[in-house]
Amino acid sequence: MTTRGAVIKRVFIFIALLSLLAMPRLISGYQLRLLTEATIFSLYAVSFNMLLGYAGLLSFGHAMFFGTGAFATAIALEYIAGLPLLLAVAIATLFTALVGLLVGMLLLRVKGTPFALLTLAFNALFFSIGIKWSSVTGGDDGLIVNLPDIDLGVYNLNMFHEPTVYYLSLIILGSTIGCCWFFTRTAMGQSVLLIRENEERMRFLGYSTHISRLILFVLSGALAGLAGSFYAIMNAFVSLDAISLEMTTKVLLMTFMGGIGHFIGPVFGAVFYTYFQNFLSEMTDSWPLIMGLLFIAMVLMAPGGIAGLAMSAREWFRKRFTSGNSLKEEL
Amino acid sequence: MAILQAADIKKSFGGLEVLTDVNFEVEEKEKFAVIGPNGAGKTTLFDIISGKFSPTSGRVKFSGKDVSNIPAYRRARMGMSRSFQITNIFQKLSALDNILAGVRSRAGLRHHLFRQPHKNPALVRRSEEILDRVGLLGHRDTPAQDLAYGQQGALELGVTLSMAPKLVLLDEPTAGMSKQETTDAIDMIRRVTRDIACVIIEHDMNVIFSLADRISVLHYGVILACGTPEEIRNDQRVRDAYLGEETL
Repeated sequence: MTTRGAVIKRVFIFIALLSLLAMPRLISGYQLRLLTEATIFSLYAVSFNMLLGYAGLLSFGHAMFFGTGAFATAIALEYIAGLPLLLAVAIATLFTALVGLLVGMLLLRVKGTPFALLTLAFNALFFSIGIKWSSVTGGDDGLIVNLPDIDLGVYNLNMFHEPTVYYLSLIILGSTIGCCWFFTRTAMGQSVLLIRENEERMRFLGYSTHISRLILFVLSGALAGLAGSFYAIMNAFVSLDAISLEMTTKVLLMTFMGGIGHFIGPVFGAVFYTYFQNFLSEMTDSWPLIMGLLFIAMVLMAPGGIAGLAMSAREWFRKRFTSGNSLKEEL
Repeated sequence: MAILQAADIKKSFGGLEVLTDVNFEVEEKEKFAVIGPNGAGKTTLFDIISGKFSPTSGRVKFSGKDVSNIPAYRRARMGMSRSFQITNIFQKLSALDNILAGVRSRAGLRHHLFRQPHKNPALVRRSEEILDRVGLLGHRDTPAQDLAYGQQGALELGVTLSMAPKLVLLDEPTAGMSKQETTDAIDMIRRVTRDIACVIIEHDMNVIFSLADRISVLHYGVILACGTPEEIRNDQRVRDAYLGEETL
């Protein structure tokens, strides 16, 4: 059973990857943009879930990192002449990590509700900086991102070509999500999970729980910054919306709808949210109302999110078609 | 040299003095017990030794080093390990993962971003050895919450031993156990702590008298008497204050 299950899983992943690679041939430019956006938000939501699902830290300020990554990319490309695009992405990600370190050192002294409220306050602070410091951030007008080609020596990748942006996002963000999954299996990832389970005992087992939490916070912030950086590249434009409270709410909704109890949940959530929002906003201007109602319904009736529903469906099928005991997977 | 020294420990919460001038020493491999009625300050004393609180005044020395103001996680790394009165394990994790948490900490594998503890055969083997010592190897993959009460106590002990400590602090290791479970637990504690110094807090006199080399009686924050089990049994002040109604 396990071997057959593993084979089915591998075949499924292979087909999924293949179809993702074939997408630019199959769908329109607009649809491809939507898929790129879903990829970016997948990493954004996965990074958020590392705080929420793994460390049990509810943040209302994740957009401060997403926005910092987006703005840092635009600003780096504007002020540093001849800066290669991928180096700008790396600078933006590292800068966001640094911001995460500073904010984390201030915020992680508290837990629970005070932590959530302080993250909200910091997000508002970052947003005000974005508005007020308009000479650098462009204020309400936003910034146009000067996208240089990526020079591969023999071939130049033009970043205004939709399939190029799509492939670049898919490869870099996809492999980063893969790294996040690996992270959950490492000593550090497991320590974070154990600290959520029983922080006191971890301290008496020699773990410095503050440092663990800070490392995770920085990592999660940097990943959100990377997602934000690609958001700026995809749009060739950054506005304050990248750092706004709506962007924070968005990641909360995506992550909860996708399911915080499973690694892949936020990816489901991000894809679902992106497409469903697109679908709804074509029909009505009051799409947030419907999205909000759906969110409430899911929190009440399917607290495990889409991933939770998928797991239950899988269990149901397994019970129906096999008579043996089934393994339960967690995180 | 004594492995643990408590010198003039005082602890007050607000205006309330919970411990007054507590002094004792624990030798290498010695089994030292602290007894006393509820509210005598036993758990507070433990919290101070293990680093959950700092003393208001006085010193805690571990292996000759003053650790009074060193945080708990550093004391744990130095070789001091404590158990909890209310079983304090990782309920959702398997028995093996509970032990592995301490074993890998001991090996310095706490925050590594690449190495996977489960894939380190030496650490897994070491964890299995500890599971075996506390009689839980057969429940290697059972989630802690599904273990029987006595087995959870054994796992608590296993987690405490997982750091390969030089000194263990056992906070009422048989609390809430049945007579049979208590007898088994005493045997196990004696077996696994043969080469380790031990400080035990207990309520149950049978447990104390069968485990301890030396006993201190704590009464309203003051050490009333200190001596061998025989001396304590015959001490008139102790009888008056605490043991009076117990059948010894």
